[in-house]
Amino acid sequence: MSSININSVTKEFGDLTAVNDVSYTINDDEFFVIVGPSGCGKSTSLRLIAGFETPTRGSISLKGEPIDHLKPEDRDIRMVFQDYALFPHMSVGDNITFGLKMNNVDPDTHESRVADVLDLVGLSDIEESYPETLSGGQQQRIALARALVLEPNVLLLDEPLSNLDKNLRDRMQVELKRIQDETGVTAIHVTHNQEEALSLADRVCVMNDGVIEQIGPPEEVYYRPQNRFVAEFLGDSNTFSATVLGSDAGATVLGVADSSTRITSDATPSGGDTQTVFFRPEHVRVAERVSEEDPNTFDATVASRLFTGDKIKYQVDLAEGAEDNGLTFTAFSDSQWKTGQSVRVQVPQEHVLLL
Amino acid sequence: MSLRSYAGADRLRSIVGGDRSSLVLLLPLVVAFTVLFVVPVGQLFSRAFVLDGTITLANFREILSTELYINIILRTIRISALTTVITMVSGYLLAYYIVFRSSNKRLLLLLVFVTMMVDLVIRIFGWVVAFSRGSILEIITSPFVDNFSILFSETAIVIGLVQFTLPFMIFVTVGVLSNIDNTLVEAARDLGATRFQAFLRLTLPLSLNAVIVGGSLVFALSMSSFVSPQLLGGGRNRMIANTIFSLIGNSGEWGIAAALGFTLLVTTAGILAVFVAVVTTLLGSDRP
Repeated sequence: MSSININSVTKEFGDLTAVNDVSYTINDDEFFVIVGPSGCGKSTSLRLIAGFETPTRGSISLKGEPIDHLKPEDRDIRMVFQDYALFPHMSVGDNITFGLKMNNVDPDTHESRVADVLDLVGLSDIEESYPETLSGGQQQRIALARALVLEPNVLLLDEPLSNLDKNLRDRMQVELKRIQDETGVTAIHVTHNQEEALSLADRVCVMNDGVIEQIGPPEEVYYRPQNRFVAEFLGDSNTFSATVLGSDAGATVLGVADSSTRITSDATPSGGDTQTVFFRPEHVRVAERVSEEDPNTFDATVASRLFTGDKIKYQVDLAEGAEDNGLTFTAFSDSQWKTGQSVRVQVPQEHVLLL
Repeated sequence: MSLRSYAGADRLRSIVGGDRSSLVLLLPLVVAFTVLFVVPVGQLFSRAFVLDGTITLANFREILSTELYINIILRTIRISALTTVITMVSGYLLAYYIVFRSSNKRLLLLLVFVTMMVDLVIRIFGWVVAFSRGSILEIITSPFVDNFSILFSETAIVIGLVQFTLPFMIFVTVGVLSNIDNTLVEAARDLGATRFQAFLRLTLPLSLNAVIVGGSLVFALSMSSFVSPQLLGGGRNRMIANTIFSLIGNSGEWGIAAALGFTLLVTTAGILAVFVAVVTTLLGSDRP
């Protein structure tokens, strides 16, 4: 069952088109994450759904009913703001009760509902405190509680984790997932952080320049990006412009760097001879010796080494014979290689995609 | 009260109380203020309590037993209160419009400022002309009103005072409203508050400072106003400042004049204290 339908929505601010004729559907109980660089239209998309902006063209519906004519206060959609937007002159209890009062919820139930929602977000004995006395993580949970106490159909999250430090952010990601699971609320989360997008989402929507580049489960958009933008925006990637030279034993042969280097791929090229070759750094094997028979084996020199804790990220310059041909691969490896060391790199052709 | 104002209070405390070397920065002002203001005002007020070399309340007794003075004090309070209410409401509304609704905030603020650039006496003389017999206003209103002329009336004084005090109220309120984070209002709307409910529960309590500071400023300016009642009120509608002026200028009665000045100060301070308390309880009820 679909929860939210975005039908050919365009939003223009003067000459600027923030959202350009996009259509997509968000399912019930789904954790939907919109990710993209700043200015890509992701926040505007959220504000359109919340009702703070009205589409220039197109329409948005909730449970099959158009909601374009409804004011923000009349939509069964609640939002958690980037800076939390807690009311500074009200206690935590009053902040959470605010929505209940505004929606004429039976006052006798307020106390138990506030207690329940605080329990859900993992806080207690905090009703009397004022927002300014709380830590960023606590404020975040209060903002979440304030939206969830109304048991909304849809929860909008506008970069809610961007002001937290990394450890707290990781913990809150797990918490967000758990809370969304327990409440079954449809969540639409906006972020510029690709890691956050991949780890939270049931489906990821990659936006750029007001249009949608790709929508799909995290693994799909990560390993099978539909275009160069998605490939390069999500995680580290190796992308090169290439020309189709022909085929050999069922594999496509491509020339990169003025065809001086040949790469073979299991993928069949669609449309034209000019292609983008793409593979992830975790698929690049770095070794002293790689069996000569394996296709896509190259001589290379380690150009740089970056230890990130869970892995080591290498940049290796490819060489054709003694000549440096200007190609650089990014590779993840568990082995230790020194800068300047000569290595052999190999890319399995089933992991080489054509975009 | 907003986070911002607390940060400001902290900063003020650290300047005044915390760092001793910062006190040096305040020294010139403190000296000038003491020599040029505290001492003369102290001398003046001492005249109110001293008669023929003895300390006495005779001056105050005379004020309280003379109907003329009582009427002048009551008129001053009445005119100032009316001016304050009109200015506060219209100033707040205009400031709200400038901050949240207008597309050209700077132009509107400039226009407000322009009204202050002409000297008060000249602006008030403009009203004198407008309110006189045979004025354009009288011609325009003649089909509806028999006798328009409101020159030398309390109404004329109030109009003059509103025009004089309105920019102060607007500037104070614009400053406070500009500091209110608009996402708070959006959050309130998102949680189900109508535009008006969001205003009552958020914008108004968060702009409490504007109401208090702006209102106090307008009231104090009105209570001590001189030019407006002098030119628009005529002899029958004197306020306290005009009375002090004529007591000293015409009859040299320094004692009564000083006592009247002291009364003005105490009355203004007392009414403002009540005003601040009432506004804080009415609008700031969410915060103990």
